[in-house]
Amino acid sequence: MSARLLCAFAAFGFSLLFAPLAPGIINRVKAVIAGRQGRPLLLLYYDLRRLLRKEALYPRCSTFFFRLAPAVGVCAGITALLLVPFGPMGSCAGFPGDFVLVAGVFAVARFTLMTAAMDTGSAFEGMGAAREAFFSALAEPVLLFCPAVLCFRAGVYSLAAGMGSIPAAAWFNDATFYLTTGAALFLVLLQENCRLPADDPDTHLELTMIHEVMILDHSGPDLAFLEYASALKLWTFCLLTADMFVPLAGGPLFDAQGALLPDAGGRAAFSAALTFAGAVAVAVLVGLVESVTARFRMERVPQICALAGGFICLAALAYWRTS
Amino acid sequence: MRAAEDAAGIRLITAPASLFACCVACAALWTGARESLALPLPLPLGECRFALDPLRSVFLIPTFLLVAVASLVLPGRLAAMDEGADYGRHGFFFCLLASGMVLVVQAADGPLFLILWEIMSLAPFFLLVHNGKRKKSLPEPAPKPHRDGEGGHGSPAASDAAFAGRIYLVAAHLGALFLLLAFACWETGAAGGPETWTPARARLIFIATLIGFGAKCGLFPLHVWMPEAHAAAPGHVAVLMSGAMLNMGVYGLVTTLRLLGPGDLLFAYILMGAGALSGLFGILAASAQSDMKRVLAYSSAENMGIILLALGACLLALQHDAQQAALLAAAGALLHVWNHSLCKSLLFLTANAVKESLHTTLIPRLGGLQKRLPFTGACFAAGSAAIAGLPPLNCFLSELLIYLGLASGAHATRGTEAALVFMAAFFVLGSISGMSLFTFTRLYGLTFLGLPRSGDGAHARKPDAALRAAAAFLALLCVTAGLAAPLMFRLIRPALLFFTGDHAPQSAEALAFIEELLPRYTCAASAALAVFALVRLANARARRASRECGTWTCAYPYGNARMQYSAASFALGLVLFLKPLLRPRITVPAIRALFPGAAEAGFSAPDRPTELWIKALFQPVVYAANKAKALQHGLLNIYILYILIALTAALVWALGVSS
Repeated sequence: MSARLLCAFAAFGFSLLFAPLAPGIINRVKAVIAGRQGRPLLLLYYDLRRLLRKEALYPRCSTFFFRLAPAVGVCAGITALLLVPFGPMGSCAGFPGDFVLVAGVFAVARFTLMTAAMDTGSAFEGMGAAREAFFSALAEPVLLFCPAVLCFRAGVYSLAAGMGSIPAAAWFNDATFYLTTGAALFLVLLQENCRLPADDPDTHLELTMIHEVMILDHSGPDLAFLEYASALKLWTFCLLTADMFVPLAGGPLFDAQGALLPDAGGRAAFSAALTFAGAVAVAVLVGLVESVTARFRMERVPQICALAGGFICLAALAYWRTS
Repeated sequence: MRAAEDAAGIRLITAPASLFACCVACAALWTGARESLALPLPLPLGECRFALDPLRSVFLIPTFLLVAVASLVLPGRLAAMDEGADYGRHGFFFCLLASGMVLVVQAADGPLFLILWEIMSLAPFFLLVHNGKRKKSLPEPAPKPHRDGEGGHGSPAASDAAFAGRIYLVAAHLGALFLLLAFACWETGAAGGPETWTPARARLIFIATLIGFGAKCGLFPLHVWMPEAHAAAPGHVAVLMSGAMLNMGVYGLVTTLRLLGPGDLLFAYILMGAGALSGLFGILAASAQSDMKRVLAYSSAENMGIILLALGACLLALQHDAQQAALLAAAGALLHVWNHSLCKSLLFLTANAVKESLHTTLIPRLGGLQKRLPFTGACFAAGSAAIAGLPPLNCFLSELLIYLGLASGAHATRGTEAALVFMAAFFVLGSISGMSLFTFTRLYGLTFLGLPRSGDGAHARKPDAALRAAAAFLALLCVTAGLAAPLMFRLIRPALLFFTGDHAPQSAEALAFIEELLPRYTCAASAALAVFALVRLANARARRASRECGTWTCAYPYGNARMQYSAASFALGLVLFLKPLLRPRITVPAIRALFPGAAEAGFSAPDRPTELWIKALFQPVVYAANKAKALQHGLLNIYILYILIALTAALVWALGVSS
């Protein structure tokens, strides 16, 4: 196993471990802005431990699909993390076209979660599933198009090559392009992870919820798996957005065989730390956005996708003009 | 009952024979075999020549496979039909359709192709119309062209079938008319072949064949027969029509493109435009339907659109000498033909099992079937997930290749307007796949999950063993075809040369790119499956204690099945958002009194193209016919006046000619 793969797997393990931190960071930022004490940073870890010890309840009319969703959600998050690059460390299992697979595995998770919601026969969960299906159908092309535009540009078709290590010179040369793409990706992050202004993760009114209403009937370990799955998804999107905003200073870190170049060790550690800081910064940004905006009315939620689509189309046009 | 046993006899011969033929076609494709056969039969214009080459093999494989599947389930479907149905005639036309499709693909001469095409197009009409009781004359047609609303489920099956049969017949023959036009253009062209023609002639031929073959494969504005015919067809016929017959349209288009040569840029743009239109509007219409089979039929229009989009992208890439993009798009298009055949036949088969067991396929009346028909439900879920393009199932693989082809094309043609077209196509394909996930989640979730919405579900009985075996076989193929990506690509590789020609060094490079990529995709997908198995195990172990309880209904203890989200409410958000495109008919009850009585709210998404065609093509005929009625009033003296006028006119004409 080459040095690069080792680094990638280490980063992957790190992500699995630290993913539940992201919701904690967002909540802490919101609390600080609002002048509250706020929840503990590690609350989700405690919650997961508590839920794993509880018993699971299943609605009487539910079937196999209701039990399938938690495992599929976590599996989708893990698979996506195997493909998404951790900065210049690259990804563990990337291949040309892996950005389609990332969108695909999240689609699978969504499909099973929506079917699990409809499996309960509940009006509210059906409503949540309908909203999720509608809004994510609008977000899907933008989610696919963001990495694709980078691939058109670079002529390589994997996330690691297209997004993982954007050289600093190229980034500053064309900052508008990368910033616009990053903005589109950030909006998709808000929409896909059910953050404000698309959906309010803290709401307790079934009529206004999207993601939270779909998991109303899950309990105990299943709920823990679902919570972990959504934390993994949020972390994946944070990493993707951070990859856009954090260029790689200096030359490449690894040679073609994946061995660490001499005297690149320090830079590798620095850029890994920078990527982690970038992902945390994205989470902080989400917290800031959540502090200053209210949830949109349902019929205005598609405007987020439209804005993201507008950004990414601008980026594509900018690339086309300059190429 | 003796007739039903005879029908079982068809199965004994047809199923093994077509499975064997399918294996032969696979072997022929693998080796890239080319054969030809000339029979000394007198034909009016051409000669009786048949040929086999890799491209033909690509289209033969799903045809043979689905003929085998359809004949396996045939006796069960016949037994489920009305008593007294004419099994013998049905069997005859079934075999005629199957052999027609197989021969159309192999015909190597124009007139022969047209004759076989006509045979293939006619057979489904008889299969559609004669599936009810034998009658002296055709039943009266259903008067209204669209019956997709939630209220419109009272019309009897026989008149449905007759209407479907008629609209099919008209559409098929209008399409064939354009094919005749194209062939006439071709025959009257200069002897030097397409290279020596003016661009106008080549374009005319291309447009005519696009309309003719597009009508067969159900491209968007020409799809009007598809929802009717697929909804009315019995299971085995729907399998053949949706899985195999639609492909014939694609085959026809590909063959035309091959014969016309590289052609001009316009072909690529038209193909991509037609594909994008069909894909977007097909899936939009599918998302608002309230009948399972109609959803599936509209989704066929969507998938044919994807295939055309990819073919157009391949042509465009070839024009710009982007071999890698062309190969990726072509491979994606051909694989999508196969994958669509597999998923769609699986879905129609299982939808038909629902129809036979509950006598309805209307989503608002279904629900909770997963508990009653677990096997059918699982197969339907697999088919839905596959056709929605979810990894690691088969349609994802072809869509991955198409996405990559478009991305590669956008890179290779950077700076030209073609790059913009590739990018737009990428975005359109993304929208289509997002919408198809919406559509199939809605379809599967509302039909099979939750609580039954009407009493119809109580007497659900499980389908016969043959249908279950066929559905399991198709579902298994959907999964394996997705995972065995390198194998699938190796199979279709000989056929790709038809698209890219022999640009040896570049082609080899592009082929190497794909052949390196696919095993890595398979590895990633298998790794994801392994991760899933582990996570599922962990989840099961974490679930130490569990019990059943009621569903959370917001602390209201009297929740019931009627409170579930309905088919209309699920789609309403999207329908309202896309109102200008879908133009639904929304009914909202007006509440005037203080204590209003029962009322119904909902919407229907009528098929606007059908209404448009009827308005543009048939209403003038009806108008003229009505006007002509005035001439026929039964007064003898005026009839004699007609004769006098006719005689005078003839006399004047004759005098004029002689002088």
